[in-house]
Amino acid sequence: MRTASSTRNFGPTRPTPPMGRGSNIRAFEKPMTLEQVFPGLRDAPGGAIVAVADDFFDFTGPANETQMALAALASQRIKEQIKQLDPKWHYDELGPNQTVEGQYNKLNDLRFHLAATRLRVKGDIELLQAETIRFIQRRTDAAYIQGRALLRAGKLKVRLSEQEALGNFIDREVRKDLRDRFISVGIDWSTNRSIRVNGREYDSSGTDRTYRRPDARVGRLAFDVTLTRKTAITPQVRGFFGADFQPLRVIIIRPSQLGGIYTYAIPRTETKR
Amino acid sequence: MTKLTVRQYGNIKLYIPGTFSEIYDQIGSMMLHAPQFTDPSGYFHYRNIDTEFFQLTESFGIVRKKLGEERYAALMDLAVRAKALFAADPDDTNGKTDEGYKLLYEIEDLIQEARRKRVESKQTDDEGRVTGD
Repeated sequence: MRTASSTRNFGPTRPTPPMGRGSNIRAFEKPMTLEQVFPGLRDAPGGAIVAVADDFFDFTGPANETQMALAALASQRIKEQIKQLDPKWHYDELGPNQTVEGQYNKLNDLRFHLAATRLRVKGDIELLQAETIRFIQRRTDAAYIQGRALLRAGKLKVRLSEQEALGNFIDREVRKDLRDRFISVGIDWSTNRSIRVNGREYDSSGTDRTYRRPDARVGRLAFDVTLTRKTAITPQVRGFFGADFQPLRVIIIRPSQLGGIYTYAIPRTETKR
Repeated sequence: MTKLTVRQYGNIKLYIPGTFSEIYDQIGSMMLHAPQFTDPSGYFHYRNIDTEFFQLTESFGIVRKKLGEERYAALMDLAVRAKALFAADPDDTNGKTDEGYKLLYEIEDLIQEARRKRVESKQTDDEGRVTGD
């Protein structure tokens, strides 16, 4: 398990084994459980910081024709998996994808469809949780780059500080994107209460019913997009854990450009309610 | 909870923000993507100036009662003018994009003002809370 105290950047390294065709295609098809997203999560103590796997967000290997073919093959396999779950499922192709990037976009899109279909047909939410993390991270990274460029160009209004303004725009972008994303795969959060974007999560344990608003909730995961490092003792995070839906983990997602352990999971510490 | 509104736009289904806080997010996102409002990542390949302003103006319709007629009319007017400015400066080279930004901020201010007034007058949202929504 990599935790905040582990030597992420300085630990011993092993040479990467040569990847054959088989391992490459597996890299595209990783069935992403939360344990795979955050290695060591299962055994991590409550309140620990468990870093995201290094290889979670990007497909590895040089962008070339082989990668493109593998991505196309992986896409085809995912389509078949979805069809097995829902024979009536129909996929509207994205725009032209004659590039590696286009193939990767399609693959990511299909993974989200598979996750949504698994939820709808089997009630299994774990894949959607993993794909939501992947999606939010990508959108956060893109918004961070765009936001910084616009701040430099003087186009974004700064009220308190540049950091605050940047964080605010990233939050808004990610929430809008997430709503559009969920709708695009048929997830209606007004009927499925376990999936929400910036929804109020109540804590009715005290005499006054209070609430917090995580940027998103998928099942018993609460997501917070932030530029600031937060831990289990940060009041906001404690507030999430105190919500009635009793999240098992709070996922802190920060721009990968910040380096270090940018995105991580904080497991729940069992507390008496 | 607010019922979701999804509208058909060409061959895609677009989600329409249904609360002030969702509209606030919509405006923030638009500011990041002006003047063309496209998504270079490819995730949202369909996005363009038309889809984004469609979502925005349709959302005004959803919260029209909460806005009041005067503010609703002002927002629609601002949106039409902002869209025209961005459309006339797709490469951000002639200054109209900057003018468009000013109008987006005016839209944001009007939305925030409407939220504040709802809080001041203790009007509740769909969950019975005074939040401005």
